[in-house]
Amino acid sequence: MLKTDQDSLIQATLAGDPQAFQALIEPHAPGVYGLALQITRSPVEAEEVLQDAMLTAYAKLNTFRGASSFKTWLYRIATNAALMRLRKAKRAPESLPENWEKPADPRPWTGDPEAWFAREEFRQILNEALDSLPEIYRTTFWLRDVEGLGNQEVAEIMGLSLPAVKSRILRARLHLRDQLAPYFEERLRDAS
Amino acid sequence: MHHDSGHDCSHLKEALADYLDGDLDTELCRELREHLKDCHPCRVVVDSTRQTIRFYAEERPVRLPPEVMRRLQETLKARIPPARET
Repeated sequence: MLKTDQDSLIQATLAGDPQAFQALIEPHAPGVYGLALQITRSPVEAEEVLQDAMLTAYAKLNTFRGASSFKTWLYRIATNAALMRLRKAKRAPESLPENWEKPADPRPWTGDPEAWFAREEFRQILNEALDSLPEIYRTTFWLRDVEGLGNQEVAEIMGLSLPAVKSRILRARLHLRDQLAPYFEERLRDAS
Repeated sequence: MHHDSGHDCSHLKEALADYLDGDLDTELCRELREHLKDCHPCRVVVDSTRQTIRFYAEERPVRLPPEVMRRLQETLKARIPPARET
């Protein structure tokens, strides 16, 4: 969505047009749902977070000043809504071991990556690896590498410093790599 | 990270985040780039981490179910006042 279109929709919403708000948020709904799912790991809670976040965004739209992008602003609201649910459920924050150890004998991932994208099980493999990441890493990784936001935007959404964001993303990437490696290396051995 | 020859390259891990993001200007990144020319295990880890990032970026492993979208639209319709008559 062009920024001018977005600005027009914001103005129309503030002027009392609910359809403008629907048009404003609909392109962001898949991203907000995906983000909420990373934090809560529950489709039911992710849907509730999606609805809560959109209603909060509507209620607070008059406070949006455009200092960050609308997407960053909306994702911050969704992140807060999802984290509040985690706190209510009193789920303890998890973390990864402090030091990542490079595997002793890493093998190249060869074969045809394009062929993997077509396979039904591929998405499941990626999701299972994501499931093994503690929430704080999973959410940061999701925003950066799936949503494609910049490090600075991720820092704003998560309320973190830039070095903390970079550190979490690196650890998440390496952890996911380690989780996926046996699968792709195994295929390499199968193929050889 | 540990070099094949036994050279300790763990300090280069600090540069890995910037290196993967394409910010190659720091001294550490230059060192890392040089190191990767000689260290096969490190090169494998960097390449496969890049593939990992690409897999997630392109696959986007979560989809918004259509019924979730429909219920969101219904909720917004029910909770947001209709357009004012002009």
